Parts: sequence; structure tokens; C-alpha cells
Amino acid sequence: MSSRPPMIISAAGPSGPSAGEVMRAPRLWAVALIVVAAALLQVSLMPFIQVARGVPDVLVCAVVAVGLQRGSLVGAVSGAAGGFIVELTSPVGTLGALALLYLVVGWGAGRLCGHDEVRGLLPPVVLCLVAEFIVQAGDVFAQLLLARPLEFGDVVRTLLASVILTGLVAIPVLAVTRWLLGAPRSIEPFVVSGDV
Amino acid sequence: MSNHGNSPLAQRRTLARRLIIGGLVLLCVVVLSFYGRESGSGPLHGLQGGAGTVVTPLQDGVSRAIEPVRNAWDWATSLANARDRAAQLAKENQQLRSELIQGQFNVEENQRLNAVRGLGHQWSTDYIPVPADIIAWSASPYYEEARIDKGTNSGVVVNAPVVANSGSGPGLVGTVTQAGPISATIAFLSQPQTSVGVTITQSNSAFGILQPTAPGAFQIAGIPASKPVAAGDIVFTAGFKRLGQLSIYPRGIPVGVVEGVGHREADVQQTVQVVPIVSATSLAYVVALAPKSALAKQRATTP
Repeated sequence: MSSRPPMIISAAGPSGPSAGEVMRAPRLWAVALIVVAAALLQVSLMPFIQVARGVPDVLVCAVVAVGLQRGSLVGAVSGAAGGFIVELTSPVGTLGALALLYLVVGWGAGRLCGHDEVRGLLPPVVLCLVAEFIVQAGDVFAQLLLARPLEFGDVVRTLLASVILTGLVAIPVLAVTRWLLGAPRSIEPFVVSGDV
Repeated sequence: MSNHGNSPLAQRRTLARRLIIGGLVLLCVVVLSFYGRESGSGPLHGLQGGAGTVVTPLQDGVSRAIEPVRNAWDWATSLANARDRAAQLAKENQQLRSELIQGQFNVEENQRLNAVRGLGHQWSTDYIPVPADIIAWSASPYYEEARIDKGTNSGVVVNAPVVANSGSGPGLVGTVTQAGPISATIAFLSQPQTSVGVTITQSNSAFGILQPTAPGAFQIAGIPASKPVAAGDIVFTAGFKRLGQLSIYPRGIPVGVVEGVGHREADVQQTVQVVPIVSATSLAYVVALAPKSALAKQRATTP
């Protein structure tokens, strides 16, 4: 009776599901839950866990995990939404900058959705570290554009501390996300093979 | 597979996906651009303030929940510091010196007030001190702002000065930039927009404009060489800016200590390096000065 066409999976990895396979429940509610919870944790609890001016980034781990599990479109949208939530609810002095950075991170992680190389635990953790580096470096760039006074040594120390602390929180975040979302599969309604 | 990827339907889907992601990128850039250009009372800042108010109870709850852990950490840190006797004595010495200088300033201020009776007020009589907890720090380590648990319901308004107590005495921390009913956002002095009219009473009430140069460091420009400044002099708010403009900060709040002075024989002005009395990175509590008198309210509306 339903006229809704089945969603199409397009996992780029060689062992991923083939195109044309009918999707199971996409669990977008779980994606939204993960992103909102991570963003709220990021603005409430994480700033108090400050070591050497670095702050662990739960949101970047969540966005990377969502991207790896659900593809580039969901990853990008999740990143942008999470970034906007952080910027709206925490005094960060920008609106749109973090959203853009997390969007890029989510999109990039989503490009690896379904790849065999990121099925283990270590590669996603490394990906989280790289993503945090990108977010921190982008944040520094945004602050420089806004003519905020920064000290090179301070920036390096903050960046390193943030990356290390993010690595520590990455494993539990990745585990929870995998548990909530299930197996990696692209649920993007507009995905076709070899796209973007 | 290739047929599927090259079909018109597939091409339309690809285009739609790219439009969505591109649209999001464009949205981010447009919002960032408008946000950077609008004033603090603009709609995007208002939206940010409203969203901040919504999550204030959550941030407040988390702050209270982890307070025992923070107290334990502070206790452990203070225990470790107590072992360093020399550092402790130096700290006490600095505190006593700060108190002495504050006393000297008060004596001078009283003399000045007696001399020009009715022309000025001490800042403490113009404001209601509103103690507040810091319930949220900026999620970005490069943007030094924080949210406190007091807002307009407690009399805290935009441009209200914020002071805090450190080991070496009270000092100016920053100012309120956004105020909601139950919370407010404060910007620390290290913000690049900071420009405070300050005076150094120990150097014949030299006046200058204090501005940040790097995290934890400030500079005062415009002090004439005829008023020599020495390292260790205390810097206070002057209560006014150049051209006789009122400052949002009342007169007499300690701001920092002179760390160094740079000038050559030929210079008519000297550049003074200042370290703040209160380090904003280690604060848990602050006091917002809610305007009470007409003068204080006028200061708060100063652009």
C-alpha cells in the first residue's frame, strides 16, 4: 500500500552491503539523541574537565562516530546541528564557525562509512584525534580572524591537551554510538554509488 | 552499478545531497558573517542569550554536582602549595603589600574626595555587590567568557563591572556582556575589545588606557614620561576614559600590577606592561556590581 520507495544502501567498502539492499530502521532518533546529548555534555560538564587549558571534545567523537555509522550526509547535518547547539548555549563568541568545522568533520568521517579500515576500534579513535585537531586548528583560525590575542605556545599546549583528552573520551563515545546505531550503513536517501 | 550511478534519478539524488551540504555550509558562513557584524544586542546575539538561558539549569546542576570534586582538587592543590614555604611567604607578602597599597589609595581617595566634596563617589557606594557562581565556561579555550548564575532578577545588567577575590586581594575581572533573567555572560579583561581607563596613584595619578596584548598580559599606553612608573606599582580603574567620557568601571578597582616599563630617553610617553591581579582561568566565584545610583546606571549605559 505504501508508495514510499525503499532506501538504498551505498557502502563504499568492498565488504559493505551492495547497492539496492533494502534498509532496516535508520534510527535517526538515535542520531539526534547522540548529537544533542553530546552537545549538552560539551557545554555543561566538559569545560570543568580542563587540563592545561585543553577540554575534551565529546561532540567531535559523537559526530565522527555518527558519520562512520551513517554516512556523509547524516554526518554533515549532525555536525552542523551539534556545532550550532554548542555555539548557541555556550559563550564561545562565534555563531557558525564551530558548526562549519563540525560539519566538515562529520562529512569527512561519513566518506569512510562502511570501509573495512574503520571497522575496528583504533582507526576511529585516531580519526577522532585528527578531527579534534582540525576543529581546534579551525577554531584558532577563526579566533585569529576575529583579532583575538593568541600566544603560540599557549595555542600549541591547548591543542595538544585537547587532542589527548579527546582521545581519552573517544572510546566510550564510539562504543555507545555503535551500540545505539548498530552496524555501519549509509542511510542517506540521496546516496548513490561513487557519489560525492 | 555504473548504470545505477549514471541514471537520471541517481544524478538528481546526487545533486540534492550536494545542495543540502552546500546549503548548510552557506548557512554557517552567512550566520558567522552576520554574527560578527551585528552588535551585542542584535537578533543572533539575542538568540544565543535565549538558548543560554534555557540550558542554565542544566549547567547549574552540573556545576553543583561536581563541586565536591572541585573542592577536593582545590584542597589537594593547596596542600601541595603549603609545602612550599617560600612561595607561601611570598604570597602573604604580596597580599599584605596589596592591602597596604589599597589602604594608601583609600587615604588618597578620601583626601581627594574631601578636597572636591560632592564631585565623586567611591564605587562601593554606587553598586550592590551580587555574589555569583560561575556555572559555565566557554567551550572554546580561546574565548575567555563565562556564565554566572545571577541575572537581571538580581539587578545584574549589561556593562556591570565584575570583580573577584584572588590570593593577593580583590581585583577587576571583566564586565557583563549579556544578561538574562537568571544568568548572565561575563567577558574577561583579556578580550581584545577591552579598553579600560586606568590610573597609577603611586606615579602621581598617571592616566592611561589598558588593553590586552596576550593571554594574561596587558599594556598601558599613553602615560607621559614625566610621570615615572615603577615595576610593582598597582593599577586602578580611573573611572573615566579619554576626553572626559565616563567609563563603565567606577574609580578605584584594582586591575593589575606593573611588571615592566619601556621607554627611552627621547620618548615622551612610556609603555607599561601589566599583569592582572586576578587570574580569570581559576575562578569559581565572582561578584557582579549591580548599579544602584544614577551615576552607576549612567556608567552602565555608556557605549
